[in-house]
Amino acid sequence: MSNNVYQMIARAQAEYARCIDDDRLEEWPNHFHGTCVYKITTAANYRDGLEAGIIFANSRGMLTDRVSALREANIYERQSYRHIIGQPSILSEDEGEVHSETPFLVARILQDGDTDIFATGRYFDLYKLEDGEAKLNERTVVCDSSRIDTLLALPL
Amino acid sequence: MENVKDSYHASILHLFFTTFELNKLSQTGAIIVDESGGHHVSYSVIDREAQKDLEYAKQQIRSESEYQLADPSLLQGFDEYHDGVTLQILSVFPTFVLQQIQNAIAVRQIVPRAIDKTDVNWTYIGFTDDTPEKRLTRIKQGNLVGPAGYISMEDGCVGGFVQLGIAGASGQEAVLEMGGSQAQSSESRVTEASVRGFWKAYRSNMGL
Repeated sequence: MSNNVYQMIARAQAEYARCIDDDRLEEWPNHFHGTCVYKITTAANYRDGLEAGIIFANSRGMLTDRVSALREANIYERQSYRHIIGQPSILSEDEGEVHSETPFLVARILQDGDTDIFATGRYFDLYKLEDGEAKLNERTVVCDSSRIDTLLALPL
Repeated sequence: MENVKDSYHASILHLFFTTFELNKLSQTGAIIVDESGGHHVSYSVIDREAQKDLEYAKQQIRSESEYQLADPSLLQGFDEYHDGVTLQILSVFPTFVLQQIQNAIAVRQIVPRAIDKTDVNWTYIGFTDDTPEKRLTRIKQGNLVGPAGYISMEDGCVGGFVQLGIAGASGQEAVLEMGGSQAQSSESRVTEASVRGFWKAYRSNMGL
Protein backbone atom coordinates (compact mmCIF):
# COMPACT_ATOMS: atom_id res chain seq x y z
CA MET A 1 0.00 0.00 0.00
CA SER A 2 1.29 3.41 -0.90
CA ASN A 3 1.31 6.66 1.00
CA ASN A 4 -0.64 8.12 -1.86
CA VAL A 5 -3.63 5.86 -1.23
CA TYR A 6 -3.54 6.71 2.44
CA GLN A 7 -3.61 10.42 1.64
CA MET A 8 -6.43 10.03 -0.86
CA ILE A 9 -8.57 8.22 1.69
CA ALA A 10 -7.76 10.62 4.51
CA ARG A 11 -8.71 13.51 2.23
CA ALA A 12 -12.04 11.89 1.27
CA GLN A 13 -12.87 11.16 4.90
CA ALA A 14 -12.09 14.68 6.04
CA GLU A 15 -14.26 16.20 3.33
CA TYR A 16 -17.12 13.87 4.24
CA ALA A 17 -17.00 14.91 7.88
CA ARG A 18 -16.75 18.61 7.07
CA CYS A 19 -19.83 18.35 4.88
CA ILE A 20 -21.99 17.01 7.69
CA ASP A 21 -20.51 19.14 10.48
CA ASP A 22 -20.84 22.33 8.42
CA ASP A 23 -24.51 21.57 7.79
CA ARG A 24 -23.97 21.15 4.05
CA LEU A 25 -26.08 18.02 4.16
CA GLU A 26 -27.32 18.48 0.59
CA GLU A 27 -23.76 17.61 -0.52
CA TRP A 28 -23.59 14.46 1.59
CA PRO A 29 -25.00 12.11 -1.09
CA ASN A 30 -22.34 13.40 -3.54
CA HIS A 31 -19.68 11.74 -1.42
CA PHE A 32 -21.01 8.34 -2.51
CA HIS A 33 -20.27 6.73 -5.86
CA GLY A 34 -20.96 3.49 -7.67
CA THR A 35 -23.04 1.16 -5.53
CA CYS A 36 -23.76 3.95 -2.99
CA VAL A 37 -24.23 1.74 0.04
CA TYR A 38 -24.49 3.36 3.46
CA LYS A 39 -25.42 1.53 6.60
CA ILE A 40 -25.29 2.37 10.28
CA THR A 41 -25.24 -0.59 12.63
CA THR A 42 -23.91 -1.60 16.04
CA ALA A 43 -20.82 -3.57 17.02
CA ALA A 44 -22.95 -6.36 18.49
CA ASN A 45 -24.98 -6.73 15.28
CA TYR A 46 -21.88 -6.47 13.10
CA ARG A 47 -20.08 -9.14 15.09
CA ASP A 48 -23.08 -11.51 14.93
CA GLY A 49 -23.65 -10.96 11.22
CA LEU A 50 -27.13 -9.49 11.73
CA GLU A 51 -27.96 -7.44 8.69
CA ALA A 52 -30.59 -4.88 9.63
CA GLY A 53 -29.32 -1.35 10.03
CA ILE A 54 -30.34 1.73 11.98
CA ILE A 55 -30.07 3.47 8.60
CA PHE A 56 -29.71 1.61 5.33
CA ALA A 57 -29.36 3.06 1.86
CA ASN A 58 -28.29 1.40 -1.38
CA SER A 59 -28.86 4.19 -3.85
CA ARG A 60 -28.03 7.87 -4.23
CA GLY A 61 -31.77 8.55 -4.13
CA MET A 62 -32.15 6.99 -0.70
CA LEU A 63 -29.32 9.19 0.58
CA THR A 64 -31.00 12.26 -0.89
CA ASP A 65 -34.26 11.23 0.79
CA ARG A 66 -32.52 11.08 4.16
CA VAL A 67 -31.53 14.72 3.74
CA SER A 68 -34.93 15.82 2.44
CA ALA A 69 -36.62 14.14 5.38
CA LEU A 70 -34.40 16.00 7.83
CA ARG A 71 -34.98 19.33 6.11
CA GLU A 72 -38.70 19.02 5.42
CA ALA A 73 -40.41 16.24 7.31
CA ASN A 74 -38.90 15.06 10.54
CA ILE A 75 -39.13 16.92 13.84
CA TYR A 76 -36.10 16.80 16.08
CA GLU A 77 -34.21 19.04 18.45
CA ARG A 78 -31.80 21.25 16.55
CA GLN A 79 -28.29 19.89 16.85
CA SER A 80 -24.93 19.76 15.19
CA TYR A 81 -22.12 17.24 15.12
CA ARG A 82 -18.38 17.40 15.39
CA HIS A 83 -16.66 14.40 13.83
CA ILE A 84 -13.20 13.55 15.11
CA ILE A 85 -11.76 10.97 12.75
CA GLY A 86 -8.81 8.74 13.54
CA GLN A 87 -6.22 7.33 11.15
CA PRO A 88 -7.49 5.00 8.46
CA SER A 89 -6.13 1.47 8.50
CA ILE A 90 -5.84 0.08 4.98
CA LEU A 91 -7.18 -3.48 5.17
CA SER A 92 -6.65 -4.39 1.53
CA GLU A 93 -5.77 -2.81 -1.79
CA ASP A 94 -6.48 -4.71 -4.96
CA GLU A 95 -6.72 -3.34 -8.52
CA GLY A 96 -7.94 0.05 -7.48
CA GLU A 97 -10.32 -1.17 -4.78
CA VAL A 98 -9.38 -0.32 -1.23
CA HIS A 99 -10.95 -1.46 2.01
CA SER A 100 -10.25 0.57 5.13
CA GLU A 101 -11.23 0.73 8.77
CA THR A 102 -11.21 4.11 10.52
CA PRO A 103 -12.20 4.96 14.08
CA PHE A 104 -14.41 7.97 14.73
CA LEU A 105 -15.93 9.93 17.56
CA VAL A 106 -18.96 12.16 17.03
CA ALA A 107 -19.90 14.82 19.54
CA ARG A 108 -23.44 16.19 19.45
CA ILE A 109 -23.98 19.80 20.36
CA LEU A 110 -27.50 20.87 21.25
CA GLN A 111 -29.04 24.32 21.12
CA ASP A 112 -28.33 25.09 24.76
CA GLY A 113 -24.69 24.16 24.34
CA ASP A 114 -24.87 20.73 25.96
CA THR A 115 -22.14 18.70 24.30
CA ASP A 116 -22.17 14.92 24.53
CA ILE A 117 -20.18 12.09 23.08
CA PHE A 118 -23.02 10.92 20.88
CA ALA A 119 -21.30 8.00 19.17
CA THR A 120 -17.97 6.29 18.74
CA GLY A 121 -17.19 3.54 16.31
CA ARG A 122 -15.50 2.56 13.07
CA TYR A 123 -16.07 3.26 9.41
CA PHE A 124 -15.62 0.19 7.23
CA ASP A 125 -15.19 1.73 3.79
CA LEU A 126 -14.82 0.53 0.23
CA TYR A 127 -13.11 3.04 -2.08
CA LYS A 128 -12.43 2.88 -5.79
CA LEU A 129 -9.40 4.84 -6.91
CA GLU A 130 -10.18 6.99 -9.94
CA ASP A 131 -8.46 10.07 -11.35
CA GLY A 132 -6.21 10.50 -8.34
CA GLU A 133 -9.12 10.36 -5.90
CA ALA A 134 -10.51 7.79 -3.54
CA LYS A 135 -14.23 7.54 -4.34
CA LEU A 136 -16.34 6.14 -1.54
CA ASN A 137 -18.59 3.34 -2.79
CA GLU A 138 -19.70 1.75 0.45
CA ARG A 139 -19.59 2.81 4.07
CA THR A 140 -20.67 0.70 7.00
CA VAL A 141 -20.73 2.69 10.22
CA VAL A 142 -20.31 0.36 13.17
CA CYS A 143 -21.19 2.12 16.42
CA ASP A 144 -19.48 0.69 19.49
CA SER A 145 -22.60 1.07 21.62
CA SER A 146 -26.01 -0.47 20.98
CA ARG A 147 -27.70 2.51 22.60
CA ILE A 148 -28.56 5.73 20.78
CA ASP A 149 -29.60 8.73 22.86
CA THR A 150 -33.08 9.91 21.87
CA LEU A 151 -32.73 9.76 18.12
CA LEU A 152 -30.25 9.67 15.30
CA ALA A 153 -31.10 12.47 12.91
CA LEU A 154 -27.91 13.61 11.19
CA PRO A 155 -25.95 10.90 9.39
CA LEU A 156 -22.72 9.74 11.02
CA MET B 1 -45.29 4.06 26.76
CA GLU B 2 -48.18 6.39 26.02
CA ASN B 3 -46.71 7.05 22.60
CA VAL B 4 -47.04 3.37 21.68
CA LYS B 5 -50.59 3.08 23.06
CA ASP B 6 -51.67 6.25 21.30
CA SER B 7 -53.50 5.15 18.17
CA TYR B 8 -54.22 8.53 16.64
CA HIS B 9 -50.99 10.55 16.70
CA ALA B 10 -49.17 8.74 13.88
CA SER B 11 -50.85 10.40 10.96
CA ILE B 12 -50.55 13.84 12.56
CA LEU B 13 -47.04 13.76 13.98
CA HIS B 14 -45.35 11.61 11.36
CA LEU B 15 -45.38 13.23 7.95
CA PHE B 16 -44.03 10.15 6.24
CA PHE B 17 -47.02 7.98 7.04
CA THR B 18 -49.74 9.97 5.47
CA THR B 19 -47.80 11.46 2.57
CA PHE B 20 -47.43 7.96 1.21
CA GLU B 21 -50.79 6.73 2.40
CA LEU B 22 -49.41 4.16 4.80
CA ASN B 23 -51.58 5.45 7.56
CA LYS B 24 -54.34 8.02 7.56
CA LEU B 25 -57.04 8.43 10.18
CA SER B 26 -59.58 8.31 7.38
CA GLN B 27 -58.44 4.81 6.36
CA THR B 28 -60.28 1.75 7.56
CA GLY B 29 -58.93 0.44 10.78
CA ALA B 30 -59.86 -0.03 14.36
CA ILE B 31 -58.58 -0.37 17.86
CA ILE B 32 -59.17 -3.38 20.04
CA VAL B 33 -58.64 -3.07 23.77
CA ASP B 34 -58.96 -6.05 26.07
CA GLU B 35 -61.03 -6.06 29.27
CA SER B 36 -58.16 -5.28 31.57
CA GLY B 37 -57.19 -2.38 29.36
CA GLY B 38 -53.58 -3.47 29.41
CA HIS B 39 -53.33 -4.96 25.93
CA HIS B 40 -54.32 -3.44 22.63
CA VAL B 41 -54.21 -3.79 18.89
CA SER B 42 -54.41 -0.77 16.64
CA TYR B 43 -54.47 -1.42 12.92
CA SER B 44 -55.22 0.17 9.61
CA VAL B 45 -56.12 -1.30 6.27
CA ILE B 46 -55.24 0.30 3.00
CA ASP B 47 -58.18 0.97 0.74
CA ARG B 48 -56.78 2.11 -2.58
CA GLU B 49 -60.22 2.32 -4.13
CA ALA B 50 -61.51 4.79 -1.57
CA GLN B 51 -62.01 8.33 -2.76
CA LYS B 52 -59.57 10.90 -1.57
CA ASP B 53 -61.00 12.33 1.61
CA LEU B 54 -61.45 15.99 0.81
CA GLU B 55 -62.59 16.85 4.29
CA TYR B 56 -59.34 15.53 5.70
CA ALA B 57 -57.31 17.59 3.25
CA LYS B 58 -59.22 20.75 4.10
CA GLN B 59 -58.26 20.46 7.76
CA GLN B 60 -54.62 21.05 6.81
CA ILE B 61 -53.47 18.66 9.48
CA ARG B 62 -49.70 18.40 9.12
CA SER B 63 -49.78 15.11 7.31
CA GLU B 64 -50.81 16.39 3.87
CA SER B 65 -47.90 17.62 1.82
CA GLU B 66 -46.18 17.59 -1.55
CA TYR B 67 -43.07 15.97 -0.19
CA GLN B 68 -41.72 13.42 -2.69
CA LEU B 69 -39.13 10.66 -2.29
CA ALA B 70 -36.26 10.46 -4.78
CA ASP B 71 -36.18 6.70 -4.34
CA PRO B 72 -39.62 5.45 -3.31
CA SER B 73 -38.62 1.78 -3.59
CA LEU B 74 -38.28 1.68 0.19
CA LEU B 75 -42.08 1.80 0.38
CA GLN B 76 -42.63 -1.14 -1.93
CA GLY B 77 -43.70 -4.24 -0.14
CA PHE B 78 -45.19 -7.65 -0.72
CA ASP B 79 -48.51 -9.07 0.42
CA GLU B 80 -47.47 -11.25 3.29
CA TYR B 81 -50.61 -12.07 5.25
CA HIS B 82 -53.34 -11.43 2.67
CA ASP B 83 -55.50 -9.44 5.06
CA GLY B 84 -54.99 -5.95 3.68
CA VAL B 85 -53.49 -4.74 6.93
CA THR B 86 -50.68 -2.29 6.24
CA LEU B 87 -50.04 -1.29 9.80
CA GLN B 88 -50.57 -2.96 13.13
CA ILE B 89 -49.34 -2.15 16.60
CA LEU B 90 -49.99 -4.79 19.22
CA SER B 91 -49.10 -4.15 22.81
CA VAL B 92 -49.10 -6.47 25.79
CA PHE B 93 -49.02 -5.00 29.28
CA PRO B 94 -46.76 -3.70 30.49
CA THR B 95 -43.92 -3.22 28.06
CA PHE B 96 -44.13 -5.49 25.00
CA VAL B 97 -44.93 -4.24 21.52
CA LEU B 98 -45.17 -6.11 18.26
CA GLN B 99 -45.28 -3.94 15.17
CA GLN B 100 -46.08 -4.63 11.58
CA ILE B 101 -45.48 -1.72 9.26
CA GLN B 102 -45.92 -3.20 5.81
CA ASN B 103 -43.25 -5.92 5.88
CA ALA B 104 -41.15 -4.39 8.65
CA ILE B 105 -41.92 -6.63 11.58
CA ALA B 106 -40.31 -5.78 14.87
CA VAL B 107 -40.55 -6.35 18.57
CA ARG B 108 -40.08 -3.43 20.93
CA GLN B 109 -39.35 -3.72 24.61
CA ILE B 110 -39.86 -0.66 26.75
CA VAL B 111 -37.41 -0.61 29.63
CA PRO B 112 -37.80 2.16 32.20
CA ARG B 113 -34.40 3.21 33.58
CA ALA B 114 -35.35 6.14 35.80
CA ILE B 115 -38.30 8.46 36.23
CA ASP B 116 -37.02 10.51 33.32
CA LYS B 117 -35.30 7.83 31.28
CA THR B 118 -36.58 4.95 29.22
CA ASP B 119 -34.86 2.58 26.85
CA VAL B 120 -36.64 1.06 23.86
CA ASN B 121 -35.06 -2.12 22.51
CA TRP B 122 -35.80 -2.78 18.85
CA THR B 123 -35.54 -6.25 17.36
CA TYR B 124 -36.20 -6.45 13.62
CA ILE B 125 -37.41 -9.78 12.36
CA GLY B 126 -36.98 -11.69 9.12
CA PHE B 127 -37.68 -15.31 8.32
CA THR B 128 -35.40 -18.13 7.25
CA ASP B 129 -37.49 -18.71 4.15
CA ASP B 130 -37.32 -15.08 3.03
CA THR B 131 -35.97 -14.74 -0.48
CA PRO B 132 -33.08 -12.28 -0.90
CA GLU B 133 -35.59 -9.81 -2.35
CA LYS B 134 -37.89 -10.07 0.68
CA ARG B 135 -34.93 -9.70 2.97
CA LEU B 136 -33.82 -6.54 1.22
CA THR B 137 -37.39 -5.21 1.28
CA ARG B 138 -37.55 -5.66 5.04
CA ILE B 139 -34.13 -4.09 5.53
CA LYS B 140 -35.08 -1.06 3.44
CA GLN B 141 -38.41 -0.65 5.22
CA GLY B 142 -36.45 -0.73 8.47
CA ASN B 143 -35.56 2.86 7.67
CA LEU B 144 -39.07 3.78 8.76
CA VAL B 145 -38.53 2.71 12.37
CA GLY B 146 -35.91 2.66 15.07
CA PRO B 147 -33.94 5.61 16.45
CA ALA B 148 -33.34 7.03 12.97
CA GLY B 149 -36.75 6.01 11.71
CA TYR B 150 -38.51 8.24 9.22
CA ILE B 151 -41.61 7.56 11.29
CA SER B 152 -40.20 6.82 14.72
CA MET B 153 -37.80 9.72 14.98
CA GLU B 154 -40.43 12.04 16.40
CA ASP B 155 -41.48 9.40 18.93
CA GLY B 156 -37.97 9.56 20.30
CA CYS B 157 -38.08 13.22 21.15
CA VAL B 158 -41.72 14.14 21.67
CA GLY B 159 -41.92 12.67 25.17
CA GLY B 160 -38.95 14.77 26.18
CA PHE B 161 -40.51 17.88 24.63
CA VAL B 162 -43.70 17.33 26.65
CA GLN B 163 -41.74 16.89 29.86
CA LEU B 164 -39.78 20.06 29.16
CA GLY B 165 -43.03 21.87 28.44
CA ILE B 166 -44.74 20.92 31.67
CA ALA B 167 -41.68 21.26 33.87
CA GLY B 168 -42.81 24.64 35.13
CA ALA B 169 -46.40 23.58 35.80
CA SER B 170 -46.08 20.84 38.39
CA GLY B 171 -48.88 22.27 40.49
CA GLN B 172 -51.42 22.17 37.67
CA GLU B 173 -53.42 19.60 35.77
CA ALA B 174 -55.38 19.32 32.57
CA VAL B 175 -57.81 16.65 31.43
CA LEU B 176 -58.82 15.86 27.86
CA GLU B 177 -61.14 12.96 27.17
CA MET B 178 -60.54 11.90 23.62
CA GLY B 179 -62.90 9.19 22.52
CA GLY B 180 -64.68 9.21 25.86
CA SER B 181 -63.49 8.10 29.26
CA GLN B 182 -63.61 4.33 28.89
CA ALA B 183 -60.91 1.93 27.72
CA GLN B 184 -62.94 0.21 25.04
CA SER B 185 -62.52 -1.11 21.54
CA SER B 186 -63.59 1.24 18.80
CA GLU B 187 -63.92 1.34 15.05
CA SER B 188 -62.11 4.62 15.01
CA ARG B 189 -58.50 5.08 16.00
CA VAL B 190 -59.24 8.67 17.04
CA THR B 191 -59.34 7.77 20.70
CA GLU B 192 -57.11 7.46 23.72
CA ALA B 193 -58.83 4.26 24.80
CA SER B 194 -55.67 2.20 24.90
CA VAL B 195 -53.76 4.89 26.79
CA ARG B 196 -56.51 4.96 29.43
CA GLY B 197 -56.47 1.17 29.32
CA PHE B 198 -52.79 1.04 30.18
CA TRP B 199 -53.27 3.22 33.24
CA LYS B 200 -56.33 1.21 34.27
CA ALA B 201 -54.24 -1.95 34.23
CA TYR B 202 -51.36 -0.16 35.95
CA ARG B 203 -53.56 1.02 38.82
CA SER B 204 -55.03 -2.44 39.14
CA ASN B 205 -51.59 -4.06 39.34
CA MET B 206 -50.18 -1.44 41.69
CA GLY B 207 -53.19 -1.54 44.01
CA LEU B 208 -53.95 2.14 43.46
